[in-house]
Amino acid sequence: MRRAHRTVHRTLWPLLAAAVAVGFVLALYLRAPPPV
Amino acid sequence: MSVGLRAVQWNRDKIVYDAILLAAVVIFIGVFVALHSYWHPPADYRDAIDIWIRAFGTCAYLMLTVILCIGPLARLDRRFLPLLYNRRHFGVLTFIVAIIHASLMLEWFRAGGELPSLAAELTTWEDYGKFIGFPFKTLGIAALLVLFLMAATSHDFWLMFLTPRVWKGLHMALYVAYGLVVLHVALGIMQGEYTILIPLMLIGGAGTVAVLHIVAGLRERAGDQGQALTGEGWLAVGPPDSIPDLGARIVAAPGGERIAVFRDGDRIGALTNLCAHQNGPIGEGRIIDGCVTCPWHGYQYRLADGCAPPPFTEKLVTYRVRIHRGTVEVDPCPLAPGTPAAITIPASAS
Repeated sequence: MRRAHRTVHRTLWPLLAAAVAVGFVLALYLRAPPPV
Repeated sequence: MSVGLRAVQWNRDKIVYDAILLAAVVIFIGVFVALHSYWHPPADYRDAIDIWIRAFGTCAYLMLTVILCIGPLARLDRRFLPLLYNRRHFGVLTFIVAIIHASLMLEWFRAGGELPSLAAELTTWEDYGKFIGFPFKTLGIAALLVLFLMAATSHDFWLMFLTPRVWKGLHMALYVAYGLVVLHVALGIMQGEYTILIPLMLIGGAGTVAVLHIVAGLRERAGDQGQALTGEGWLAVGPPDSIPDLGARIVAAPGGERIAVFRDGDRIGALTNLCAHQNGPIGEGRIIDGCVTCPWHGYQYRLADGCAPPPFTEKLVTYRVRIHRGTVEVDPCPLAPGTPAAITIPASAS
């Protein structure tokens, strides 16, 4: 992997991972409660 | 490496790799459908289709997870390199599994006469402003389109046409596809089903990908720091004997690309650490049959000048080397690809 490629990877990847993690947690937290 | 392009350059390793992969997919799907049908017997045709939709969807997600783990695993332990060798076929098969999942979904709607409601679901524009209630199938379609792009450009023709740098950048979109799939599941089936298995699968898969990338990234960071230049602007590698015979030491100037310094007996040469094929780390390869051999796909280059042996035409950037006071030193300024630059170790220096 080129150095520049590694730099882009290190910048974008954590942002993408954080966005997906936040989305997953919100989806879990905000979903409707199970029917009783 | 290839003189002329062929659809697939089959060899025994690729056939074995693909056979194992296909068998694993068939077994997974079979076991999933069997167990699901045993615990929740389908009441009708649509219920049965639903089980197959889940089987293929779960399989595609797990395959994507494994594909994304192969890269960092191969960096951390060379024993995982065989998985990297034919990763493209793994990717194409993942696209096929994903498109079967999408086709079964269409069949489920068709069997219920509900294709118009599917269209309505995808085109209710107000829903795109919501989070819970966002049309999750759109996320799946977007991920599928990315997978199609990956599969369609997986051939070496596109690698050469686009150049390795652009091709590799394009294929980084697989990470976006993975994120879309996680959200497709989280905003889709996870909203209506409360089993712990779905969140566990997402956390386990994405968590594994994340941890492996972080560990591999930390290890690679050390190699990027580079080392200080000597007073004359050269990089000190070490005594000739410190370079393993038929192997290499990898050095880098601060802010520079890595340089692989190989030794073949009493000959020393320095090449860029980036293979011309897919920028693999040739410094982690060995000299085989007199040629530097990339550990990823076996591309070869002459140590003397960085040129692939005829009839192949790839050329690597080379670097000047010298023996200075018993130490191998490399000039970090790159020479034009294919420039002869290897030296013979004087008897007095060895």
